[in-house]
Amino acid sequence: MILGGEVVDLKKHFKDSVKLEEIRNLLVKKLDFSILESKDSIIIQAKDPEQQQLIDRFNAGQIDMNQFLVEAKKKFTCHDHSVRIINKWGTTQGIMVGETTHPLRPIEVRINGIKLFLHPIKSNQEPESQVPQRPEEVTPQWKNLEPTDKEDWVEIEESGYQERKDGWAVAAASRRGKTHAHEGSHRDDSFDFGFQNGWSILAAADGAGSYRLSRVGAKMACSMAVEHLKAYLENFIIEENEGSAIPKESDLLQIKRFLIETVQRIIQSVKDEANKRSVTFDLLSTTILIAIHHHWQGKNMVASIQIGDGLIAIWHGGSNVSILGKADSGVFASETKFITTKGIENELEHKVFFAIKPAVDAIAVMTDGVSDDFFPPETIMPKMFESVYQELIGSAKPNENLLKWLSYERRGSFDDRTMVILHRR
Amino acid sequence: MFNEVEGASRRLPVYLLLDRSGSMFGEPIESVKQGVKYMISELKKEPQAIETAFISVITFASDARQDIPLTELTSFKEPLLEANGTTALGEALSILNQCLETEVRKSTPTQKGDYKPLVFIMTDGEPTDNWENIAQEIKKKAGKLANIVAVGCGPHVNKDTLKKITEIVLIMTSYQPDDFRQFFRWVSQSVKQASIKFTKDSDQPTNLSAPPPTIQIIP
Repeated sequence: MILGGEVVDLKKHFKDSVKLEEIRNLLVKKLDFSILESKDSIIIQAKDPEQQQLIDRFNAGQIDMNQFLVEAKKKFTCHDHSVRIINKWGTTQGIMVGETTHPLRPIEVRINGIKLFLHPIKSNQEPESQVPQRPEEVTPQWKNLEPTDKEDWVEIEESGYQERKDGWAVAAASRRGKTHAHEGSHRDDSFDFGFQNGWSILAAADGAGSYRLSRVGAKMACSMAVEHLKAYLENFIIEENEGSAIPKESDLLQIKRFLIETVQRIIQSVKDEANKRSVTFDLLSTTILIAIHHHWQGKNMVASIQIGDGLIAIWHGGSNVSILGKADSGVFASETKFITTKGIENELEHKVFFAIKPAVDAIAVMTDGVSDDFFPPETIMPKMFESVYQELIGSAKPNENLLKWLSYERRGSFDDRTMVILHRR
Repeated sequence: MFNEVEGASRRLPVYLLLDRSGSMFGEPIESVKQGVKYMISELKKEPQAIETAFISVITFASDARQDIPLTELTSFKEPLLEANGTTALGEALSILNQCLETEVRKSTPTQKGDYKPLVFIMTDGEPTDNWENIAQEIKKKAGKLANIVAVGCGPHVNKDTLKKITEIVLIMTSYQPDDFRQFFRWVSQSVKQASIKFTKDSDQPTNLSAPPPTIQIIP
């Protein structure tokens, strides 16, 4: 790092070229100043505030070049070769067993009052070619900050659990991702779930990270999905369809209608909310994933609607999963869709999916913070389901376990993570 | 409990194409070297960048070479650069093209591809080799397969040449050390922003941050 402060042009201070070369080497190679050279100038720059201070004192005439060098040697000589001890050292001989960053000359160090010398090791690298570098700290320093925006508060994490009488249960959890924690912003994932007339309703949403109020959109989308579907499904039972593997077309169309109308009503309500707040609709951008489940003729009937990324998956036990719907896939730039995307209403017809399956152990609705980490889903998700299932079964606090499970570490994965899972108890 | 999730994580590839022709001799090339160093240390301050940004350096003079293949920040070592020779920008673009084809991971049914690469091309003169065909190839990819920015510096640069490579062309009229410093500060800022933006909204298009006042955007 170079500071942008005052600099010293050595050519102005040393006319003798041998002397100039000597000072230049001393400053750059031993004292770790930064240098810019051209035909007419040799500019010395500071790399840290201490060096800058010294240069400033020199420029202000408080010290001359000799004093400058004396001070610099005092301050920076050891500094440029940071010593890291990785083993024990033999105190009797005063020889250190350790590692340094390539010392060019003997370095004196004091450890617990014992004076030690580090001697340079012969290296085949041209010493002239490299300015000594200070070792840098490179582990990611993630911060964990409270959201600064106190409006529309969203808890950093949230979870829920509810059992059904017929042997199923729903566990749900959502936790704030590293990026939001680091910059002190809100989680903009959300979820909700509910039961109605034998139906289970699961919803998750991922507010678009770069829109200020997306968390509001996501929360509304989830709670309204459950609320509207509860109303639609209150008296709706899929009729028997004897001799057929799938329900009657009229029933399927009815379910499709319910799902599409639910999303249409979500879109309208979020629009109204944007108007109420006098902000653009975009600011509340969110994805929405909804799945509903009911038993039908000894099988499981699952229907879904999804706008944007994330995934809805059915686990048949073992290594078998079915994916409902299609995840976006492009070369790099498949644009994620949101409920606010222009013309999205016209696409809803193609966003409803059905699965009628005999063996189902679990159905999970997850935002892309989770699903992107288990890719490709067809092969990786069974492992994910097994792992989650173990956390849920027989546990006194399945929702807390799910929340804990969602804290797995993965490089490059910093998004909010949300999962709503309907599973057999 | 799941502690390690398998599979490669998504990277943000960053390509720096740097001019080391004779006209860059002296202060300019030193400033560029310092600039690269500064950029790496800046990026190391941002956890998202540490985990996602991968940097490659391609340089060109009488010939072109990939000095550093896509490398994560923690193991990045600055290339040794000396300025001399002519300006084989065409060859550098061919190498870039090759890298975009082979080094950058595409999304397939079985893997999540890398984020859209960021490419910064910096030159201070007219290309001296055959560059127009490959410039056309690159321009087809600009914006779609990679965000490409061309920065011309100094008095001898031709903005029309750069416009044939990408729509995003910036001109830095003076090239004092401070101008380079500001340029690399801006590159660092853009990479940081992209790493945060991409990891938040996965594939949403990204906007570069506004360049410093010494750098002018050519419409």
